[in-house]
Amino acid sequence: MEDFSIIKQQDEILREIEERQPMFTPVQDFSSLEVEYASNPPFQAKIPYLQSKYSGFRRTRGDGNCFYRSFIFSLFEQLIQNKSHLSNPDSPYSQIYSAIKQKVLDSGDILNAAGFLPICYEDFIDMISAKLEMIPTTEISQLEDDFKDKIIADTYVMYTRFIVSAFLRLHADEYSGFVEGYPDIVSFCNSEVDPMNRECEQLQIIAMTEAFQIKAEIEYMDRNDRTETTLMSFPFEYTGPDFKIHMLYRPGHYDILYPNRS
Amino acid sequence: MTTPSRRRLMRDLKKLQTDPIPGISAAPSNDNIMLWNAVIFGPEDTPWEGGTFKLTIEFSEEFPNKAPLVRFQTRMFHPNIYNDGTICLDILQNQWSPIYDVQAILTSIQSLLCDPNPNSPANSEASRIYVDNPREYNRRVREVVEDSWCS
Repeated sequence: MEDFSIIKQQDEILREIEERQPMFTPVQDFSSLEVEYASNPPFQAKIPYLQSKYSGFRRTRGDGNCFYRSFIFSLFEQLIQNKSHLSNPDSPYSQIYSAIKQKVLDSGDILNAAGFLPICYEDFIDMISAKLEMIPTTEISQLEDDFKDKIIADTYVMYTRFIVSAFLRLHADEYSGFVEGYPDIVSFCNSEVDPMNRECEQLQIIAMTEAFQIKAEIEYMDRNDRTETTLMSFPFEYTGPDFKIHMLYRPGHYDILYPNRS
Repeated sequence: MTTPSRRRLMRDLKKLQTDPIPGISAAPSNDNIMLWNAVIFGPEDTPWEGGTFKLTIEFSEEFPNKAPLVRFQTRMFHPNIYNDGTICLDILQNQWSPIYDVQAILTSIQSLLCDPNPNSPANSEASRIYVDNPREYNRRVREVVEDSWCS
């Protein structure tokens, strides 16, 4: 348990972030990163590499939900952008779309098996299912509007937290060795996954991509002296459709990347 | 209009009515589904036995993504309960999650009664007496229990 004054301080920091940063910016080029890292040579040196692979990025609010929110937003955004392919069974977009719709429908059984209460998760599943059904008639601007509404945006995020938490709880045998500082997976999830605004570490990223069976490629930007960012791909073994979520990691934060059109 | 918070609260209410847990009751106040009154019975075989403790639960439109504000209306004497009735409990603050329903909140508060955490004192007098003088602590708890019958 933490002291009330510490909790109050954390709330104030979070409120400041909420006032200052939108959930997502429009897609922008990397010039703002150049300004941000003007006096940080190791980061500055990697920007040309990013520019060579990606046309731009979308910044997301640094409120601890950035990975979860970027993941679900990018999934929906790519499906909406490619909605003309959704009725073609050979298209990877159509394959991912069918698979995700089925996974969301099946997620009630998984969340129940993980020990969650139906009254606590049913509304989340209903909302995500309805949003998925609407994809063929949705525009990107409507998705952006959804993520300007804190209640709707947080509902998308919380659904992904439920899925990550259930995956870890149901695979406790495999993952309990990775939860440093916690006696078991359940107490790790209670503290690090289930509450909003708790940051995503690599374990949660593995769980998310495994549970959804969606590939995420993350460009890690850090202090090393190389001129390229380091690419990591999750889940470690993936054989599904040719569909990826692209993200940029800078210490403590994730944003969405937009690859160059080939 | 049914908002997500109201829809969820209707589900919570239905569960409390169809699947009640002994020693816990809660319902919305007369004309406001966002403000609930609750009663917790003191756990049996503890100094809290026999007490009927009243609480209010205030939900915002951001519920369940944001925690409700839970407060004792009955005067309490407990290391983790402030004099104004506010409760210092992890799942009501930094560990809140929509995975908890109203029953789970009240059950956690009920267990907190007989399992206080003196390292995180909200009432330093109660905390000190709990650690230094268990007999006196139990006597003070019994006072609160007896008071709860007339409040």
